[in-house]
Amino acid sequence: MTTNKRTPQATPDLPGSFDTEELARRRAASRRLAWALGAVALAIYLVGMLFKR
Amino acid sequence: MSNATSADHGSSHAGHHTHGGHYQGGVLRWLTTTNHKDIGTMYLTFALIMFFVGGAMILAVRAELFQPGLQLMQPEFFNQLIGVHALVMIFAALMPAATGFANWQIPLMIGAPDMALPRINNWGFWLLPPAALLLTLPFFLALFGIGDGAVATGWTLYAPLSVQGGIGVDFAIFAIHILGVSSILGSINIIVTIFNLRAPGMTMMKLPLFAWGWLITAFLLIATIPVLAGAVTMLLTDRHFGTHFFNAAGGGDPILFQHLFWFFGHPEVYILLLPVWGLMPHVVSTFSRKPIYGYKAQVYSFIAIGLLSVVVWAHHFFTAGMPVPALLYFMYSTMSISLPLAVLFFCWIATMWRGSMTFETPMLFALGFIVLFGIAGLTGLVLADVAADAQYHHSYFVVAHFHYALFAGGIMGVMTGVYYWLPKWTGHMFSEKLGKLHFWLTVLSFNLTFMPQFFLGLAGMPRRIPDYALQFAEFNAISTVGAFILGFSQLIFAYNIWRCVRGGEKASDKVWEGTQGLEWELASPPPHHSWEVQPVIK
Repeated sequence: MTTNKRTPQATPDLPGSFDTEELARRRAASRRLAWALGAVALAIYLVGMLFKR
Repeated sequence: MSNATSADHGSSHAGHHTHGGHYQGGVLRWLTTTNHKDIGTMYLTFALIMFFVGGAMILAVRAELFQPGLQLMQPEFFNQLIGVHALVMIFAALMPAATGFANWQIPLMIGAPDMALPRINNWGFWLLPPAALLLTLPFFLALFGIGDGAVATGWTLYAPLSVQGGIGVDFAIFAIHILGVSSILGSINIIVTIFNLRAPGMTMMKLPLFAWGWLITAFLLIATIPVLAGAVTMLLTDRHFGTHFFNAAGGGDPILFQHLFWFFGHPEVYILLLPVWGLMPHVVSTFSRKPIYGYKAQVYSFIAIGLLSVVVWAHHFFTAGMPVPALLYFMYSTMSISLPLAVLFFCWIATMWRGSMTFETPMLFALGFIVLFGIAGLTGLVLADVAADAQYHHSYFVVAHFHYALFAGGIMGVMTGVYYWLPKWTGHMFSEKLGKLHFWLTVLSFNLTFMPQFFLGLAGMPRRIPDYALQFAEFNAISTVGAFILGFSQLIFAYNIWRCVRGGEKASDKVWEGTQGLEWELASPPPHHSWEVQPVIK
């Protein structure tokens, strides 16, 4: 079978797990993005509510 | 083709415990779990239960329509069954099934240990059961003399009918708000997981297509669910607080509701289908033993479809009256969606082209999906034509078209995914024999049910009526027989899943011979915490 260069292939023999600092950084970034997306949803809802012809 | 083996994997299931590592058992485990696999399982189980609830409702409708005249129920109850069937199937069966896939698969496919926001994930799921209860409760309240039954406006809740309706409309409004919050929470979680928790080396253009499909879906949900929520809140204030948003007598406009509803409603079709379109290339590639053809073309098509889906909404109500330039705009913009969609079809076919194809159950469902969903696409083009739509609008042609899109496209796509990933999730192979029996019964009875409805629509039979002229009797009888075979065939599906969860032949880690991707590197079933050792993408 041909290997697709775009299909991700893991290298499970590589040692190491998620670094604590890196994980904390990703968690903080996730929280920020989640709040931003939530704010966008709320803004659309409020604009929809106030929308009148 | 399956690689069945009894070999034990080093990182097998670590037992039932919560995300934090505290052991929980019984009901508490499921109530408090923040593990993406547990939550995925709950979403899928809930979807399967609601699929049978919604299915039972429509079998009652088809029984009524078996012959002309009123046999089993009054028109009011008939209308309630139709509306709640649609709401349950869309919001409580198809969407949760796709979210269940996302929960199970996205962390496994992108090399993440879990979803980025596990507690919100738990909350997102547990909002669903009360919402489903709100949708169906008015049926039972009516038995005790409270209210006049469930929402009877159809799932579109068009004003002014919904402004005047009974308490079922209020229950539906609250249910939609709760379902919307659940969907938005799920979408936020999926977006941040894909953006922030990808394994090192996994660039966006190496992201599995399933994750791409869900990413576009999640953005569509965040953009459109609040509009629906706004519309139904306005409906609520019209009903109870003296506003006149949709009341012509007070200076409002009922057509405004149609605009707001379909600004959500049309993207909703792609919300239901994009996760399935993302799944298809993986399945087709696996069973053709060939790499995915046109990865980039499919990604760009997903994005194009997502963008186009929010600018075509008014084709759902051409007959409500619009200026001619608006009619032409919505006709051509709608038709233009067929271009990126055709790219997807050609990519799936090109992936199969000259491949070493085998036809296990997931591949059979994928092929059934491609053929039948093609019919949905072609008949959709007919409905997008303003002149033709004037005849077909509100006829059984529309009913047949959207069932080819949402049953053959949506539900058969979900079944493809279940059969494809079930051995990975459970560690056991399902029965191929039962799977194939399920496929053939489903495909044949589906066509027996819905193909006659195209002819009924062409002959002029309107939808959402419990009685009809004698000339429509034969096709309706055939359609009802097909619907009952289709409904009862799904018991085979449920039994096959149950059998597979309980035990059976051990599945290997890779499960299928031609599979590629991170998720197949994990044990079957995967360990409780996925990817404790971070994968690195070459």
